[in-house]
Amino acid sequence: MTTRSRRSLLPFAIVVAVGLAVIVLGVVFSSRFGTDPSLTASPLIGQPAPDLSVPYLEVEGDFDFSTLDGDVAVVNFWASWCLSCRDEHETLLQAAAQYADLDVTFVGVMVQDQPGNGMRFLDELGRGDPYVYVDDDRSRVSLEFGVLGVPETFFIDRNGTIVAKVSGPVNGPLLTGTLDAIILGQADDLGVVKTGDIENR
Amino acid sequence: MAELRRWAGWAVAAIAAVVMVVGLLPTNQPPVDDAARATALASNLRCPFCQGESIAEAPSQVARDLEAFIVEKVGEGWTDDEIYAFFEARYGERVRLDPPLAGWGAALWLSPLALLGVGIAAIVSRRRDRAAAGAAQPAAPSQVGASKVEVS
Amino acid sequence: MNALTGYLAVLAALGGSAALGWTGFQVSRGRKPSSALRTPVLLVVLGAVVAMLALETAILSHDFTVAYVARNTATTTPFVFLLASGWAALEGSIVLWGLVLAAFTYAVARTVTPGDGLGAGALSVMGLVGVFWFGLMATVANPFEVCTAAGTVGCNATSWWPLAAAVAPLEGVGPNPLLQNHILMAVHPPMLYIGYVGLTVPYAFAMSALARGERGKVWLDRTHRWSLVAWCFLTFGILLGAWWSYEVLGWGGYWAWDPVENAAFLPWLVATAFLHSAVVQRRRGMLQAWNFALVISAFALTILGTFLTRSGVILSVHSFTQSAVGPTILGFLGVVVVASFVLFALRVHLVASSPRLESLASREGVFLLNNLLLTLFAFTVLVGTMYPLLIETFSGRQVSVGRPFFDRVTLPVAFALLLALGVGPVAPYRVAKPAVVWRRIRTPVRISLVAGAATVLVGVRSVPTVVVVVLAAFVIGVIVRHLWSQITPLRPEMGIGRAAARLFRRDAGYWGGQVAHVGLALVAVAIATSTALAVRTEVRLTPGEAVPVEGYCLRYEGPFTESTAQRSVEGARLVLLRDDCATEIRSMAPRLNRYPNSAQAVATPDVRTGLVDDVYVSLAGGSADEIVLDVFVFPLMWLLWAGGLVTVAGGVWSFVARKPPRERPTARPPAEATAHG
Repeated sequence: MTTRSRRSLLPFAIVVAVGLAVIVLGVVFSSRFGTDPSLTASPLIGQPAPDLSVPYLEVEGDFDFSTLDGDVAVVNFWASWCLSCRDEHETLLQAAAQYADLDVTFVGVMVQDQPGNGMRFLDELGRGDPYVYVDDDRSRVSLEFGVLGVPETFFIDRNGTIVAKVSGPVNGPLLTGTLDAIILGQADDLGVVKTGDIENR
Repeated sequence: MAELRRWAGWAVAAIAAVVMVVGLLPTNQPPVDDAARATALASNLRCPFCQGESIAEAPSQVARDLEAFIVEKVGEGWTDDEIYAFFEARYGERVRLDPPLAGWGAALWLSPLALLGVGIAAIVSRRRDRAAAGAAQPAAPSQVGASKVEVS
Repeated sequence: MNALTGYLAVLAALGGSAALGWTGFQVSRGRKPSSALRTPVLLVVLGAVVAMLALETAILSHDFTVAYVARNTATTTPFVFLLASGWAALEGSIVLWGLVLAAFTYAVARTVTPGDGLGAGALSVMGLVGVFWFGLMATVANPFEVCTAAGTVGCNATSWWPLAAAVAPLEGVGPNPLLQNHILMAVHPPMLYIGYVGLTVPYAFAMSALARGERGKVWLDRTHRWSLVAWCFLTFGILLGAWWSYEVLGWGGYWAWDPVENAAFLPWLVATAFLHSAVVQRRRGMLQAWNFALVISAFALTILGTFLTRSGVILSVHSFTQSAVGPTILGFLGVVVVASFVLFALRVHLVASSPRLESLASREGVFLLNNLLLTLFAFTVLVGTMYPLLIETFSGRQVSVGRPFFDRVTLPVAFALLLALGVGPVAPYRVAKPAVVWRRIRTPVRISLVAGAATVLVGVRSVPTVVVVVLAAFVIGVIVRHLWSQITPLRPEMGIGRAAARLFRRDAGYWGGQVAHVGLALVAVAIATSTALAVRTEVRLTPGEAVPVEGYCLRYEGPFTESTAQRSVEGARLVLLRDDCATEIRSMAPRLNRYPNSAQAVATPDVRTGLVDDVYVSLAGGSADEIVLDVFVFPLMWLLWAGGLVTVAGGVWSFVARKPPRERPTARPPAEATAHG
């Protein structure tokens, strides 16, 4: 008698188990449609900006990130082999000139590249004024900022807190919009914005 | 003569077993030094600037720099947990290729064991059923001796 | 014109599939003669062939009015890559899929005789599966969309309506750089598709048998050749994929536990389990319900694999970009799983009463263990692949599961599988007497101990490697001893060679399987040595400089560049020398290839394969005056490819040489049954 009742339970158990599995899978996968699997949240948003020093790209000496204290800063990671870095370069130069009077410092951090290549890149596309170019020769800055590829751009407010991150090339409206919000102290809900694919090698 | 050969064969096998065991004794293993620890850490962390490989595997320059960083911190006496925490604070949990054995991570690590338990239980219980029913059922035509099998 | 022909062909195949689904059902119920199946099958085959031809014609004639052509090829693309573009991108891959399915449908249809309800039902199921794939081509993955607005390069807007006013861009975007980099990128996916689609056949027969309430092993007998074909192609596809990853992608490995690799591996594991459990049912009548469950799972996993690869929901180097194809395949997966298991549950009372195990210590016991282990292996891989998705969906946390998890958890399972591989052939059916087993394994045990000691004496101190060597030597020893004991009585008559050939021919299924086991043992050894004993160093070189590297020596001659319309190459000319830095072995040229349509350079390593080890050199970076190289030395790498090929050869042998069941003689010569041991 026991075997009989167990048999009649078996099909029921199979259907319930498979049905559950299908529902879970369905929920899991359908919640992923329309989202970008490469978008990674940054735990650094809302955290104090790292404090370290790193050699300048074109002149002797080290740049110290603690000198940014009290300024709004835009920290852009780039490399000469990165194509979208070329796309955003002009935008960054214009913004650097435009916001120079508002105590906004632009820092260009070259990663994964040889200084010679980086200088040729700047010769070709122009240098910002004012603009700090540094060479992340030991990848420490990338590590401190949790960089996943280039281009990536971080925004630091006057209190030295990282308030926003753009993954992919920046565009004019996004850059000025973010900076205006930070300057006006409305940078609470900026978070991570993805504009395109980042490159890595 | 045949007897002697058999004994010689087993003597060789016994010597081989001893050689193997002695050769693999913990004292003959490379020591778990800082370099080994650093390599283990680097293989458990995703190279953030690469495409899905660990820091230890990835061919890129950033991976080498991060490896050097890990070696440096291990040398300074950081614990494994401190190094994991440092990376997680910057890159997020995703940087760990090796989910920690806690919370849902424990479920992940232990789920194969659970399935193994269920599987063994299923096989053993079916055999018991059989043993109980075996007395009543006449056995199927015997195939003892037919040792061939077709792997289709 | 190409677009119209192609689209009409897709519609024809779709209509044929639908008709086949319905007619097959009617024929299987005996309401129609089996000749009614002919027209739908021909329609499916004709449609699938013409669709593929239309797509290739459009590609080869640079017909950029077809959006697929404009998006995935360019006028500068070399001929072979043009040809391969027909299936290398998303929509084209589904056209090839449809073609393979049509070929299998045709081949199955040829075996359906009048009054064959089981076969007609299977054709009906294949028709329904065809409805999905051809439906996909007719809607969300339409390869024949026409270009309605041309960009400077490629197409800006498309229309599914094949008669819409079409414009042709002057130039196409060109193929994916990874495809252009090496033709193997175009060869290994079709192998996997044939394997995936091949698993549709056993699934279709299983569904037909369940629906008709047929118990017994008829469906297994009729599908074992198909399962073997599918298994061989899957194995070969995975092997080629690994080889491609090693020789072409410069990261210095062949298996990354990437979700898409796992997606190909999962059906392989389950199909392997099925091949073995099918033996148990055919010999002993056991595991009837389990076999149905395995076949359904294997088929569902091929769909899951297709979904993971084509939906873009998972971050992987292999994946296609996101589109409406993802949700559609997901829906199909849900329908397949629910419908199959509901049918299974309704019929399980018919098949669950098979004979049970007498003793765990028996051939059946080892087969059960093998199935448990393979299922466990598949489960582990599945859970590891799905875990990040589950966690992100339910808690929003982003986590990864990578090599450390997969390596650690699958290692003990793999060891146990190897052990089962060795014990299986020596354990008799029903009950294994310890004395019999001992007599059969005592020589292999001694051989394996000596092999292990030899490995230690060469200087290997890695415990897992030595364990693998011991187990592999045991597996091979058992098989060779068995072969030898079978040959011995025949030897006086015909000599060793002819005796072995005769055994292999007479019992192709068994010996083919054993050959595959030998191959797997070799693969296990190669995986162990190339993982645990590999060395990797970074080398910096200036022109003319030579440095010793891990028992060899590398000299940097200088940089070189090449530039064609298709790509530009930056590379380093190197010479590999013996460790004296004087004797030249050969020249090497690792390179970075750049393609006009992509920012990323594709690194191509140079590999020198030797009997003892491989020297693997990949260009990591550098400037004009100094290059940075990643140099790996992988011991016994050739064994991986050789072992893989032996495995495939074993599989091929067991279905090529085996006579179809009805022609097989019923009585066997007595020598076979007793010669063992």
